[in-house]
Amino acid sequence: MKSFFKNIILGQFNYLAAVALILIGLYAVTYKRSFLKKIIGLTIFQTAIILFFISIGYKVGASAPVIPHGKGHEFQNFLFQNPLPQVLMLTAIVVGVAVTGLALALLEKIYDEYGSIEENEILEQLRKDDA
Amino acid sequence: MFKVSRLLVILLLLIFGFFLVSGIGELPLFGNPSNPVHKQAGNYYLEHAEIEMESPNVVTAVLADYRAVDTLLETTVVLLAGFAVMLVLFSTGNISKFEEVVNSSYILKISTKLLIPPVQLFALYVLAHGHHSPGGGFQCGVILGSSLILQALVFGVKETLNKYPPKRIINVAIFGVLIFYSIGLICFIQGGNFLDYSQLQSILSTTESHTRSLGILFVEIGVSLTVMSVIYLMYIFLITKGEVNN
Repeated sequence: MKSFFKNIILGQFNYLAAVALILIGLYAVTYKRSFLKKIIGLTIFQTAIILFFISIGYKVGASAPVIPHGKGHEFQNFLFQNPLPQVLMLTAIVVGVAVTGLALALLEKIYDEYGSIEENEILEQLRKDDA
Repeated sequence: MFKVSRLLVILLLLIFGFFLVSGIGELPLFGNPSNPVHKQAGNYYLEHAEIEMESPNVVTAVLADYRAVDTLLETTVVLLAGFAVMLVLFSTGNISKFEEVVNSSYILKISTKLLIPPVQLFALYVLAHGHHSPGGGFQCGVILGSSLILQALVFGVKETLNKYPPKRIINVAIFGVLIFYSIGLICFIQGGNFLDYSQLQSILSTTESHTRSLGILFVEIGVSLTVMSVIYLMYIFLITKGEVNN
């Protein structure tokens, strides 16, 4: 139990936070009735993935991957963060913005059509239309 | 239809979370510089980015040169998302039907007028200095787009639409992606790989590393134009529900 506390809770705290964010996002996506809250849940889920990737690329005591040049600067690998996860997440953030915009546009159309963005109210209307 | 109880959802999520947490225990220690992740491509990028493309900011070098095809398709995805928003919200309604109340006071309008040029100048700085400090095409595009959205917020959507008609802004977005593709094609025609900027050397007539550095800059100009116009278009279409025809 002591080693569990030392290794996971203190040593891997960032990964634990990522798991917590994933669970919060999934809860919002699956349980919440409002489609707007579902979109917020998706965004939280995405934040969890970003946190996870950035944590993987982290090195203790290292600085941002902008390499100072000129005299008096020695280059050593462990002085700079791993740039690859940061690049991947930069692109992920931009795609996330695009996806959120598209989701909001669809939500706007749903509201125009049904006058509501609550899942249960929309389902009721659909069932009435079928009957 | 059965009603899913909150307890059941939480229970399932906790089981899922238990598996994720038990996986965490197997991961290498957080922040250790000798982790396996840091022994692969990341190290190569750190060691070679400045020599090969005169870009001290390794993230910019990886984004626009080593992984340029990724960024190319990424920009295309952003453009397509903008198109999709326009298609979903498109209506034949007229902007004159759109009712808006602009309550901006005189002080707010004047200070916004003073604020917008520095914001756009800062965006250009972020773009041009992206090789040497955190920054680049996406960030520049977001700052430029926010300066346009600020105008729409303060002066009202109608006035902004007169200044920047969506038809023209769509062309800017397509032009940005076109810059990216055409630079890739020029490299291809010159006899190299697609997006291999060193092939531009005969046109720009500088050293190879400097050519790559300039290639990154050209590509990022295209990216920033696309991101700026797509963000502006998304905001305009969401706020007016597509009634943007004059």
